[in-house]
Amino acid sequence: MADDIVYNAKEIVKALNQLEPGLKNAMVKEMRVVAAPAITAIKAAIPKVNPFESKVRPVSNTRGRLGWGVGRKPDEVKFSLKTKASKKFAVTALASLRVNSPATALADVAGKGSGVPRRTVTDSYAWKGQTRSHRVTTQGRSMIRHLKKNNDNNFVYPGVEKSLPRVQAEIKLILEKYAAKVNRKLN
Amino acid sequence: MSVIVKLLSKFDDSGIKKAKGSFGGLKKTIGAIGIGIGISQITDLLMESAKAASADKKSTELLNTQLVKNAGATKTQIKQSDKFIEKLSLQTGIMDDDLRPSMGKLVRVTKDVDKAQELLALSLDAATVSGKPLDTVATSIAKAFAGNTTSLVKLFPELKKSKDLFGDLADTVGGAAIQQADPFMKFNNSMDILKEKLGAAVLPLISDFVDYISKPGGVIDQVGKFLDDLSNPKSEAGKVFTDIKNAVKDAFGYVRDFFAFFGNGDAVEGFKNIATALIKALPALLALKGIMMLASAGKSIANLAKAIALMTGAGAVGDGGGVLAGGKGKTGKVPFMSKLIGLPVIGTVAMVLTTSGDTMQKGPRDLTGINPKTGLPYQMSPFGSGIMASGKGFQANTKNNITINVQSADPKAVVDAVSKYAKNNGGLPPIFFGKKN
Repeated sequence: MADDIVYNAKEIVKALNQLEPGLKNAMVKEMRVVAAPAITAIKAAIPKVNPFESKVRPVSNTRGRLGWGVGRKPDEVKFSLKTKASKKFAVTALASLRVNSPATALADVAGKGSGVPRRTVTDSYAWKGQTRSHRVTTQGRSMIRHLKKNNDNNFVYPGVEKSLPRVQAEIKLILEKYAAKVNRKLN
Repeated sequence: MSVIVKLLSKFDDSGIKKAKGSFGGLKKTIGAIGIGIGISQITDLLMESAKAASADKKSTELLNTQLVKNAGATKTQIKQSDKFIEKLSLQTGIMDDDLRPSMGKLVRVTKDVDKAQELLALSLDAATVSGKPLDTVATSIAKAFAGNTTSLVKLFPELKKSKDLFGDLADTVGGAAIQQADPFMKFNNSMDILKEKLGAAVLPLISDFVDYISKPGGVIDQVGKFLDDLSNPKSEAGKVFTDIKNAVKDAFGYVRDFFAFFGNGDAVEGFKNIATALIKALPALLALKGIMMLASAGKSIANLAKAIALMTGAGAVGDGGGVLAGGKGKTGKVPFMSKLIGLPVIGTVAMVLTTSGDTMQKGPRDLTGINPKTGLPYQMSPFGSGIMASGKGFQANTKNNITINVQSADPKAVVDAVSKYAKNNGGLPPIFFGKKN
């Protein structure tokens, strides 16, 4: 189900706090409560153990930025309400659920592409008085194969799919309720 | 890197509004420089230019007073300052009327024209980088020059430990204003400056004109005297006015007699009779108008046929008439049409024009080249219209078939279904239009 698009959301949210300080927070709180089933569903769908690990790679993805559980919890799902405009797009997410762990995101999107790299060689850069570039490796393929074999990829959306339409409708209703408050006060 | 599940999206048209504003300004400017404008617009432009020049003169004089009072500027310095502001405005696309107050603010603090100019240029760069209004940044810089660096450091936290505040700021933001200048704004600004120059030429003329019409015994006095005379029946103008009044009275008498002719001596009755006759004739008049409109709009035989059908009243405009009966394989009343206008071909044209969809063909369909299994031509790509929803074409040509069941073939529902499939399955299957290797 495609998400609905609302207009003048920024103005509504801005007007809320002008109308009564803390009204925006109350709205976000309500939205968060409504989004809870979807958050739970996503959390349940995220693998409980490091999905990158295999018998041949027992310590894979345990360190660094993309390490499983490094920096952020793998099953951290947050509700977000952003009214800031994008420089690139006219339509952007107002309310969304974000899985912030890079490792979880990596596992989720693995295999969603065509599997064919766009380029075979990286950009060249200056190195010790000469230029240098690298071949794009194919190491990711075995990782994707491994994740797919264990059904550890593409879990976020399928996990939330059932509860999503109801949550989306309720979030919209909440926004409409608060928008009506603003309109009533202004008129 | 994160996964985002959208719950609600918003449409933000601020970027579009900005672009529209730029284009709107451009349109205005193009109008102002005289592309495709009429006399009234030229006069409007002259008045607008004069107004702009008047405002510009006012703000220039205000700044010049500041320069003289605070920095003891000479005439040459004032002239040079004017040129500097104009040049800066052209380079950055910021209105000179916005630059002058900031310049004034800086001059009051620095007491030096050159230093103020230097700081104004720096303020512009800093304003561009920080995204804050020029006035705010100029105020911060003026305060910093006077020793209060708090607001400037708030704007640029990297300057907190700086020993050479302005030098470091220049290193950070130098040249940004010119580099980031909006070409539309620059163009608009150039045109505004041109307008001001034009206005400066027109302004003395307008001042002279105002002096002329308002002087004792001038136009205003003369017009006032004329109006007084007009209300006095003893004066020449008053006599003429009375004559005009009588002529109008006579004319009304003639009109009354005209209507009375149709109402046995009663003008009101006559008017009623004429109006009733016109109302009765209205459908015929409308039909005639319809003929003219259709015949001229389409300029085709088919349109003429429709117009004739309208004139005969065969089923008015709403139901399409006899000829417009078309749709779903009906052939229309061709004999009726041919009888009407004596041209059998017109009926055929009308039929072809009004028969829509796939039922135009009469008799058995030619199925040569059609695959009996798929119901499609053998050479047809599996992505022909309507095939995607049924999935038949996929089965015929590729193994990667997607079956999407959509009620009532709503395009939005099809798009939603495809995006849902892609989200669930990590994308669409690869499609091979040619032969697989």
